[in-house]
Amino acid sequence: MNGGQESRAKEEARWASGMRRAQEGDAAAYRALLTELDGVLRAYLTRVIGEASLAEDGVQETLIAVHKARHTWDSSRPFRPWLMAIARHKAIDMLRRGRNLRDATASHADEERVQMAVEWRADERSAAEENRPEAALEVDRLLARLPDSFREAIVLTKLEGRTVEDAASRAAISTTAMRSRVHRAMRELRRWIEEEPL
Amino acid sequence: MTAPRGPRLIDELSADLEPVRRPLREDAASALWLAAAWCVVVALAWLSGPFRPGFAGQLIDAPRFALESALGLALGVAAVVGAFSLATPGGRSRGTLWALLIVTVAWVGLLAIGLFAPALAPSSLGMRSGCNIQTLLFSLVPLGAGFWALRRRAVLNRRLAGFCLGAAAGSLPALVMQWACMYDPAHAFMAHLGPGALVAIAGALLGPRLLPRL
Repeated sequence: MNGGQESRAKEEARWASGMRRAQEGDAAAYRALLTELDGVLRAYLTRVIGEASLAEDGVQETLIAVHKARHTWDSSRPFRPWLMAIARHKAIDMLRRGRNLRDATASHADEERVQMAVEWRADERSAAEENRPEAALEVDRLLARLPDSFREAIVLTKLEGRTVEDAASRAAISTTAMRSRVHRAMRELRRWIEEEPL
Repeated sequence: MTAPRGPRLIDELSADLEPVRRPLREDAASALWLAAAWCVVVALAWLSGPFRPGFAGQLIDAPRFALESALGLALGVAAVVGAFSLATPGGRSRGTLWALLIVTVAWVGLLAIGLFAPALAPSSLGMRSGCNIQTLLFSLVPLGAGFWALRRRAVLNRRLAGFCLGAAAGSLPALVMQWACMYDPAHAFMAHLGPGALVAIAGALLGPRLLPRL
């Protein structure tokens, strides 16, 4: 057995033991197991999903799914395939959600892009320049450059006009995180607009 | 309200942890469901009318009819094992689903050949009125019991698990009707397998609604 296989076998034994004890109600063992799985899942989901914020959501959902399904792990079988089946399922879920979000965002952007152009350009340009139709296309392009989570934040708060609290609830993140996403998204957009005047 | 994240989530999940009771292994659960469902379907068919006279002898004397029946039963077995495998993360569902596909094609194929060269001489002996409705009705108890059992597990693909369960619940009365009702491949397609297939479709539609999302 080489080093990699040995460490994998040790990991498997540790996880299986942790879950066995968790099934018996040992909270400390369960906490230690989930803490270790948190890192493993984060690495796996970031690799599969690509986008950090979606992967982070995936980690939380996978941990909750592991908790809900913990009674279904059969201790006579290896733990890793059980865990990875749940993680893969959640990864697919998150990828699908990301794609739906991109579609929804594109659709909103189509509907609202002129309004967006006018609003954003109001910050940057004089009123006389605001109604140039090509500006709308430029904004659309800029929106598409944003990471999905940032674009979602802009769509929910700036296009749909929701409060930060409501937007956070819909995106299943904290209000602080939503406020931060909106702020960072707006900062990115301003920077791009400054670099590439409309 | 937002979901807790990171260490706070782990704290919440591990707080007040209770011991859990593991459900039956999927092979044992499948066997239990199959035995119970078979008894229920046969009992309902028996109570609702006589079986076709001589069907037991036909099973012995006509090997192709016996093979058709064996494939129908194999479909039920593969389908329910598939449903319970899909309800266990990391379960061995892939091979079972292939087996389900193969026996379905074989059963339907054999009956389709029977349209031109039947295993038994087609006859109206044992004809039941409303056998199509009976096939649907007899599948309801197994279908309901199966969903109840799957709800206690962790189903990842709810639509496919519902389809497999529906195929299992629909195939048993379809098979029993091949013994209880008249033998005619065209009638079998329309009145026995057709309703069985409808139950499979109903299972696929009900799966995402009745099975909890993990």
